Amino acid sequence: MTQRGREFSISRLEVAKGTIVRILNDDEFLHHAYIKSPNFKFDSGEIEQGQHTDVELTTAGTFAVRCAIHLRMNLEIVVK
Amino acid sequence: MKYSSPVGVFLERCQFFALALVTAALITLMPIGSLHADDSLYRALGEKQGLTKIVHRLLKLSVADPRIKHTFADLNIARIETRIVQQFCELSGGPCKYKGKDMHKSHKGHKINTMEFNALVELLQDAMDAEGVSNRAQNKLLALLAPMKRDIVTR
Repeated sequence: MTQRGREFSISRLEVAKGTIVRILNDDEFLHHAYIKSPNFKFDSGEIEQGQHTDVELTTAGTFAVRCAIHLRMNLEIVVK
Repeated sequence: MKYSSPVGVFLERCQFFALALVTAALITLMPIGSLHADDSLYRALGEKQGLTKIVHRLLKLSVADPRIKHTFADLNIARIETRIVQQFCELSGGPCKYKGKDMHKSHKGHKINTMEFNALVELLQDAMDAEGVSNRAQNKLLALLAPMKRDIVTR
């Protein structure tokens, strides 16, 4: 999936536990991706334009992926 | 120079100890202040607490200013505040370390023009005035920030 126009390319994603999701910054802007949940945490750090981050979803649940730079960016990932 | 004889090895060791001795003497004789970067500007800006107040005020003015508020749309202002405080602190000789990307990478895509850049500088001066920063310190900080214009202004 990508980050473009200050949005994630999709708003919801369902994956199996253990899936690695790649988030590509295909935008003009610097981006970021993080998950802050009691049972799963992830922080990509700043993702430069054209760069990507991989997140391995090792825990089942529903998680919000946000960008710490652009507050309105939101993606829901359901891990089964 | 490399020595192969025992006398040569002894001479090499003597050179090493002499060098170590001179270095130690220089460090001992050096005034303590010169071991650290000049932090006079950092102190003139009110150190971390003063910088936080200046930057907080700057951003409050910026998000309300019709000339530049659109450039802050959607952005995490609290994160920007933290980054700018880190940057001003490091730049002015304070003990902080800026942890963000360089100015070109962090502003790329925002299409900031000269008018917007100048408006921000004006608001920074207003914020420093309000926090009682001397003109001399203001000018020093602005002089340190001025070279960043070429990385921030992209249109």
